[in-house]
Amino acid sequence: MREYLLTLSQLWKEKKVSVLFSKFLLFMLLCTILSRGIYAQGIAQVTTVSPRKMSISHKVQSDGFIEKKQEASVNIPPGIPIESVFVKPGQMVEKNTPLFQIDMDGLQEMIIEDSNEIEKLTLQINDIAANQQFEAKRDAQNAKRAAEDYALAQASGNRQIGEAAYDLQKSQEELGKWKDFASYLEDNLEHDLQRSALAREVERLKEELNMLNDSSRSISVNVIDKEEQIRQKKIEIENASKSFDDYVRSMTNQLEKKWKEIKENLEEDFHAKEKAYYDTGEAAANSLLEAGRTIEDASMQKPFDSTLKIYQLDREEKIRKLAKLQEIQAMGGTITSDILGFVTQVTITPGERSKDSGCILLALMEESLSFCAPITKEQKKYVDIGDTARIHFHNNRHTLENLTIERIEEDTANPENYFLYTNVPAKNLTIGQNGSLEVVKQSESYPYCVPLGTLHGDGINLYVLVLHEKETILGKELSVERRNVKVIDKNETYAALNEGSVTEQENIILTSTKPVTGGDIVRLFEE
Amino acid sequence: MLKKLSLLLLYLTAFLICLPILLVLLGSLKSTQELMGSLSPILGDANGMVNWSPFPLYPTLNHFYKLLFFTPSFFIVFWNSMKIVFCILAGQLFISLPAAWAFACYSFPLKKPLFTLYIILMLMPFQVTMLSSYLVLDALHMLDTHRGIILPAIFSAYPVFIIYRSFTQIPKSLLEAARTDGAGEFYLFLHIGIPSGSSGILSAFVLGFLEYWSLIEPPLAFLKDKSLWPLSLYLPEISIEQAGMAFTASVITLVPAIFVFIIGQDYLEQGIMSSAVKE
Amino acid sequence: MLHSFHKKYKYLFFLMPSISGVTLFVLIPFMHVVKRSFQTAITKEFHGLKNYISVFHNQAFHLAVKNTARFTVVCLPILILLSLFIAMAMSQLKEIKLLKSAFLLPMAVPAATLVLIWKILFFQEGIFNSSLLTLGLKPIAFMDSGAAFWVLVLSYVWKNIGYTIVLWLAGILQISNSILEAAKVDGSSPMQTFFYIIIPNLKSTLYIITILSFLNSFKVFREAYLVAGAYPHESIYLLQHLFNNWFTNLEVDKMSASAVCIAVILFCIIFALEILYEKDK
Repeated sequence: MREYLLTLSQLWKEKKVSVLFSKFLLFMLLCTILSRGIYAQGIAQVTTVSPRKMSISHKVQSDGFIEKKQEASVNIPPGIPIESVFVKPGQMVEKNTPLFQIDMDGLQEMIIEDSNEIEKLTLQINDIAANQQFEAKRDAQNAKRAAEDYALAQASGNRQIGEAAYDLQKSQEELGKWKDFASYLEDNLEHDLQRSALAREVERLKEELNMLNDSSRSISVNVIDKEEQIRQKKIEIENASKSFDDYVRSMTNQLEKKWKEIKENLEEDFHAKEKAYYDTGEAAANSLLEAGRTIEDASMQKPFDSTLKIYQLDREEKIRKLAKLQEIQAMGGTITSDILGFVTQVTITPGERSKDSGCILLALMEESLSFCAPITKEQKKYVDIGDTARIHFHNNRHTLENLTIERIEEDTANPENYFLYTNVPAKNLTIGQNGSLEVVKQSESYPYCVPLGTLHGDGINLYVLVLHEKETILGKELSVERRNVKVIDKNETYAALNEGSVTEQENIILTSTKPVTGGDIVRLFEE
Repeated sequence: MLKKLSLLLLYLTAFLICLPILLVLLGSLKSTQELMGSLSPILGDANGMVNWSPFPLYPTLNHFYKLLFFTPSFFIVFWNSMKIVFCILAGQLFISLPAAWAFACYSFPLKKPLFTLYIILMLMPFQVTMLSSYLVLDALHMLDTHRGIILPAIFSAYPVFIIYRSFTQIPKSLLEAARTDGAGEFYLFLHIGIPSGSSGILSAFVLGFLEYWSLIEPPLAFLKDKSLWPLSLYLPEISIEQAGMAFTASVITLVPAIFVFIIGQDYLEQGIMSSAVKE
Repeated sequence: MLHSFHKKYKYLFFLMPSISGVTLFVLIPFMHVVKRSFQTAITKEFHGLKNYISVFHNQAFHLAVKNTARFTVVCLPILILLSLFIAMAMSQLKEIKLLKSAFLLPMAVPAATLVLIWKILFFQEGIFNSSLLTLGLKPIAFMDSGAAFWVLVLSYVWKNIGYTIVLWLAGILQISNSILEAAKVDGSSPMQTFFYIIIPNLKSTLYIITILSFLNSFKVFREAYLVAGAYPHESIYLLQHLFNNWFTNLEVDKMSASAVCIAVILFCIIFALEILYEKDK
């Protein structure tokens, strides 16, 4: 019994514990679901896009109007009297529509006048031409003469210089040859008779003395006489010597004077000759210079005188004008339009003369007109000449497609703005009509384009949030990676990202129910 | 007197033995701040020793709250473990039970060597057959699946051994009598064997549960997909920085094991004892 | 005729599922491993005994074998004797349910939880060390020194003491009281009773316990791996670490050769045990 109870209580305990265990397991189950629910609530739900290959289209839109494409003006030479005008501004004219009529009489008068003028001019021209010829001849002669003079001057000059040079040379030689004083003296004295006589006297006396001296020895002559004789001889010698010396001295002085004189003369002569040489040279040069100048003068060009040319041009113009007038005359004086157009201005009145400026202004109404639309600098980036445009006209509610941008010009008034011009077919359109121009430029095809909503960050540091599959214990979950990108092109809805930043297979977060950053786990949005 | 002393000693020893478990239990109630403060030396943040007070200063159920309601990944691994364990145990029911019966009740050629073989296989550490198992599983495309863990474990020799022991207790005479009564072998098995050996069977299951609940080596080697991991692999992944979570997860891991233990303790003991009884 | 035929082969019916599974999942692969042990790792050329030779010369292998053997030789006796001691003490008591539960509780603790406890207790800065400090002793670097080995032993004993005690108790309580009574009457002391009566009767229990403990001694790898990773301190580098690392590095040749070796060794040990057991029966 006891065992039975024990077993029972044991079993009951076991059952209790088993029940507890199953309750525990149920609790765990509950928590499993709960925790999952809470977790799921906690993670953001996102929608994604994949980068696509597309081209970014830039739309430039602007309101503009049809402007006059071209104005053609119908002109006639000014001063022609108008008889009547046939058209008014605003009128459409076709080719060969008569526009206005010229007064033929007046025209004729004008023609005659002009012809006379031409005649006059012709005569004048001829005169001038003849004068010019004459002048030319005279000039030629002058030139010739000057050349001759020059040659002469040159020759004469050379000759004179040669002569002077020769004189100078001779003088120089003479001067060089003139001996020095000593030799001069010697020369002259040597040959001077008186000197030699006196010298001889002295010699004789000296000899006599010698003889006396000698004889004194030999004969016994009166010694006192001898001594007296010797003394007297000595005195005679002394006197003779003295007179010799005096003579020589005075001769020398004289000769010195003379020598000096001659030398001075020679030197003077030399200097004179030298001077004459230089003078002659100078003179010759001067006369050559003058002759040369004369030649220059003679060959100098005449000052420009375009009078002739002017007259000629004048004449030609007048001839042309005349031709025109004659043409008009030939036409009967009716001026017609040669284009299909639209009269915008009439500046002539009957009875008056035509003016310089256009008489009638026509706006071309060819197949195409020009549409002008202003754009900003920003917009200009996306528009090029040759781009396709479309214009929507508000009044008649029709849209023209496939138009081409003809040109883009800068607005001189506001330099930041530009004008777009495009040709539009004239059908159903009038000048001045308003329309809205749209240019859609497809950029090149970029491989990785995403909607703008996927980009985050400020200005320079942009990033997108890329989804990655992450293996966690919960299985495959999606985690977020923040990736920095660079935008190479964008418009209002799409942006093109640089190469290597994303790939086509990747999913980029577009919207999310909660803010997410890199590393977060997210899941895809469920409707 | 001696009895009292030995009793006291025994209780003391028992208490010491249970101390680590208490540590975990109480630790799970500690707030993160306290845990960080105590454990920072281990984390390398502070110097000095761990400062561990046995009781939490400000006990909190915060960790449990967080773990149970905000960590879905925990539940995935929890149910993974549950699934693995129950599948293995169920499988073993069909595989090892008959085998043990065969060894216990019949004699046939090669029985002894075969049984010895079983014992050897049972004792072989996982690493020895790790490689061959890997190759087989790869060939069968069962790598990185739960099947790859469950199937080899079903054929484990361990339960065969334990259940065999309890089957051997059934007196042969009983079986013979039943046979002469006209009972077929299968009938014998179902209606005599299983009830009589129920303690052994249950103890094999209890032991099996405890064993497979903390199975580490096969999942570590064969499971790559984190979403297939059992609890036993998830726990070590929780770094000690999240000490609160770690403690709490440990506690929750303990709970089923404790439950099974409590429910099956008697069977456990019986089973263990029956395997000790002489043949 | 048919009946007996069926009877004879009925066992196959029961045995088949298990055998087939075992063959498929264990035996055949193991044969394959044996084959691979004679081949090179990747190219699968016939390599003769070179793998075995390289394994025998492998330092890591020596270390692992040494450590594993050392561990087994150390922890088994400790466990067996300690649990016997406690079981003996408990066998004298009446109300031991709670105690048994307490001792068995560690069995239920998963390895991962245990690892957490380890870390807190045994890290360099752990509780154990801080208590040592307060006692005035030097802290021990558990995980980085030979002390790691003892931590492993401690955790093994802690985990397995429960069921070992239960096993012993079962065996002890089996011994019929009559014999014990008779011994007492004969005047043998408790000690004598213990050694001469109880122990001989516990032989089969010892056999079971040895086998189970041996089996569980390999399981310490789990804790060791979770705490210290694939390359722990030398003293706890076990065979399983080695195998695990070889596996990670795909060194199939060494793995196969050593697997075959270990299998052979284990086979021999068990065989020896079996024979011992049979002899005693």
